[in-house]
Amino acid sequence: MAVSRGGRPVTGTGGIRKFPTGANYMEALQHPELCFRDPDLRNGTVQQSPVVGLGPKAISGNFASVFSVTARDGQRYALKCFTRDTSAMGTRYDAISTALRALDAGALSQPWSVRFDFLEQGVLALGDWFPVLKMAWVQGTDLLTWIDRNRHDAAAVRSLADRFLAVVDDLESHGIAHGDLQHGNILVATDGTVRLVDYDGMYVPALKGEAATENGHRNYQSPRRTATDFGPAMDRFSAWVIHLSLVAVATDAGLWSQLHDDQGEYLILSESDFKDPATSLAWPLLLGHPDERLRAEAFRVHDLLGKPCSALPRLAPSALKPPAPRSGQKRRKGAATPPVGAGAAATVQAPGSVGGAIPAWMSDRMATGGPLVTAGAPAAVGGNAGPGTAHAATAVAPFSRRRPSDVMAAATALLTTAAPGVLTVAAGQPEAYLPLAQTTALFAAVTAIGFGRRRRPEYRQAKQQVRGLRRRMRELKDPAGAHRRLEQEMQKLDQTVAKDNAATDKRIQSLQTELRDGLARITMDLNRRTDGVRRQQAELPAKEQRLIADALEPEVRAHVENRLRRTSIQDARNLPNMGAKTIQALIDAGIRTAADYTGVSFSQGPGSGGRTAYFVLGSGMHVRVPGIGEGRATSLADWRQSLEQRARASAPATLPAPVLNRIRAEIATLRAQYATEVKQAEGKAQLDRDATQKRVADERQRLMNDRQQRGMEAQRRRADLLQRQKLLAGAQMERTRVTGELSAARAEIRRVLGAGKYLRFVLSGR
Amino acid sequence: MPYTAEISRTNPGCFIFLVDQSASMSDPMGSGEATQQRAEVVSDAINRLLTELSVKCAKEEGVRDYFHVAVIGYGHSHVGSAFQGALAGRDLVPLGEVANNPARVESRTKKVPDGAGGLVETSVQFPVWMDPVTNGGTPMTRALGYADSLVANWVETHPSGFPPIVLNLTDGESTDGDPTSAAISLASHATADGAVLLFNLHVSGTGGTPVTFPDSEEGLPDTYSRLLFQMSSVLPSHMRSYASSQGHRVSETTRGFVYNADITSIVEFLDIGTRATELR
Repeated sequence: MAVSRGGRPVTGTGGIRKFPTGANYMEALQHPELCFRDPDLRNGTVQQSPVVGLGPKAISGNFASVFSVTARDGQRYALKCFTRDTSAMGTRYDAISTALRALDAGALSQPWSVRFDFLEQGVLALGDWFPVLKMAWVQGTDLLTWIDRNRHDAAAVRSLADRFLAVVDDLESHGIAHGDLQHGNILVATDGTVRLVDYDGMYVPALKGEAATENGHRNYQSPRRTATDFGPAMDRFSAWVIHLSLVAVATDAGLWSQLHDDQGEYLILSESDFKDPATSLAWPLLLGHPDERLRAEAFRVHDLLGKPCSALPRLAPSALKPPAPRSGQKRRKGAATPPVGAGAAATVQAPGSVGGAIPAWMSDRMATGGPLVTAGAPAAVGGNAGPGTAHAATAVAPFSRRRPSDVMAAATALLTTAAPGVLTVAAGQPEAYLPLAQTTALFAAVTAIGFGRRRRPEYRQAKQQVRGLRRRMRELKDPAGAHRRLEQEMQKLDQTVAKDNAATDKRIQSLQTELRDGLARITMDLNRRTDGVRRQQAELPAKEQRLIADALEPEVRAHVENRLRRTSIQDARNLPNMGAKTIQALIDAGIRTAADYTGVSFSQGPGSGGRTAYFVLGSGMHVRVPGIGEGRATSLADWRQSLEQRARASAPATLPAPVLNRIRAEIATLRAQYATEVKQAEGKAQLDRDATQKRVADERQRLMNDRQQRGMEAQRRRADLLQRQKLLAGAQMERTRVTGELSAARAEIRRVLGAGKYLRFVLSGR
Repeated sequence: MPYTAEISRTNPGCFIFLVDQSASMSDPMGSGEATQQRAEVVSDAINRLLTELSVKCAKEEGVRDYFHVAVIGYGHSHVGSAFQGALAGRDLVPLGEVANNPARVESRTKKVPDGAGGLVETSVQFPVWMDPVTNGGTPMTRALGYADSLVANWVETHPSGFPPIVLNLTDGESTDGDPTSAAISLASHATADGAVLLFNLHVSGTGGTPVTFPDSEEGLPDTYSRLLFQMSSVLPSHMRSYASSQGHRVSETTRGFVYNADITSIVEFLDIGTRATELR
């Protein structure tokens, strides 16, 4: 049993030294003048926690807490204090430090390495000196926060991906590996270059043959990584994962909101995506992404999942050759995906128009090859009076095919025209009433005709065309204002789509948690169902033994009874101090054989005499046998006991085969039954898992479809707005043309769809 | 494999401290130079554990909600939140909020080595979330029942998380019956990652050698300690490895039980965040 005194560091088994805890360090660092030996630190200022009075501010990992100390000269240091035994780390850090110092700064892609000193007597805590790592404080934003802030700046993200690639290349070409590449250890400086921190797990050539002390962050490492993978290639999996994540976000910022959780300690892929890619929601999104380059890299990384760490390829620029560009399609350097339907969209774009750049959401989900929308499409689809349809508008279609409402209009007109005369005659109204009534009736008739005409589809369509032309007129009268308004409309459209997409992305993201919890619930349920059965399964051998013993018991009892019965009480005469008189007294009391009593009991009699002995008969009755005291009774009880033991020893120990077989069959049945129960429960759980996975996958697919449809619809509307904006460019000429078209359209409506024409139409059908 | 779930903000852990506040806790423990009330020992332990957890989960922007923490007191006729100050009356509180809201920060004087072989008296800051309270009986069974309902609710809403950890700090003399069945029921709750872990810290005046993480009840001084040992969960394998890396001798049957010794090291057993560790 291990025993340790609380509070004091102890040296336990194997010379392991107990290190201070984070709180121990926090307490010690409240007095830098006492706890440090290094002059920079001793006279420095330790950064304090924002909670008043709580003391130094810590940033903790699983092995250490880091504090910030600013020296007198203004230099800020990060001080890493270890909470787990790092005694053996000193020599490693020496090797790492030597290797990093030997790097030629000029030959590196960027100044990613950070200098450090390993101070053996770094900090005095719990009455003892402990080592610390003293590093210059790195100003930078951790990768996760940086992506979160910059994800909409595709060019910046892509350039970070390139810089990261360059850092990995630097490491690879010097035979160095970091060991724990992850968002917390990759900082982005203000100039956009990368810094690597935390070299605890670093491999440098001098450490060849050593084993890893850690395996890195679970959301960045291959599940197959082990301590023996310690070597120059151990970063490869994480490097691919990080690069893919950056490329994905640069290509499609929506992927960040779909796959990254605000609170998650990962970028867009996490441990479960590596361990169980089949249930992953991330892989289908990446592998099925419309962007060819992203898809290609996703396939490469997906391929790495089953491979041993030693067989992973190096992440290098040559490994990332983009697929050959399609003919006639130009890629904009540093931009996101080429705009959708690049060729066509570019012709729609008005020169110098502010909103001309295709927003990120439009490039989402759209196939890069083969334009989905052409310049001509918006006018045709949108139904607006663009120039493509404006000319056609002047050719107004005449009325055709009467409908019941037209007949109604005609009837109403006729009736109201005739009504006053009829009424006058019939009701004997004064004649002076007639002209007024007739006027009213005529007015009603005209209204009826006008109403009927306006409800005709031909009229409506023509009017809509006129409205479109009038709007164009207004736009052309104030082209700048119209341009601005179209701009605003586009912005609004962008905002709406962005908002809807964000909501969809959030939902897609939350599906991951839903799936995780759903599967966990199924496991919990399965465990609850099978726990009892498994316990019973484990008890089966004991149960079998018990059943066999129970089955034997009657035979054993009969055998013992028989033996005792055959032993006459006379045989007890061999016992010491047992005379014929005593035996006779026993026989008189009904005890003729050893089977006639089961034992003796005693009771404390009155007075100071010995205890009184009673014989317990087979019937349970207690009898006193005259002349037999405690001593003789005890030896008689022992005599019977030994007879019974001997009888038991000679009793049959095996069951007759049929009985034994019956018991064995019973146990086998139970065993099979339990196995079936477990199997059924497992089968049901698998079905439930499949159903849950399918439900979540379907839901994700539905959301993706919605998103895509929304994107396409918005793109159509946007292209239409762009088209209108473009047409504002030649405003003067256009205005003349539209004025002409407008009056032509109006004249045409009057000519072809006038009230007279309608009247003739309702009456004649032509 | 059980007890391997990530502890993170998206998958937080649950830590419930049960604190004996009965009258018997006012008895002194230990002997010689430093006699301290048991209740004081226990409240110091809680305050230290909360500090330790907060530091362990501290990041650049502050303390992250890797855990939700409850401190439940039991004594007299009361079983409920033992937080004082801004958190008074609350059960499970996200760790970030706990860290930002100690009831007060005490300045304690302490003798520390001056680095030159001598000792020097300094003052250190000590955050306090609860003070020692001693009053009435020890309704341990009810306290375990209280934890039971918190835990039941937690596993329902966090089915894939690391199982809740319940740490009971007591002198062991339950006054509302044998707590064993309540303990068994509490430890029967489970997430997909495993069953609830129930650990016990026994502070006692009986004396005897302090014991940390024993693997049998042999050598425990009294029935109370043996009962608490039996109620305690067996340490999961990764925690065993940490215990062993701290110098404790461990075996398959090592339990989360500590007798009259420091238990703050238990915080070191928690793999917070997401690092997969290679244990020696």
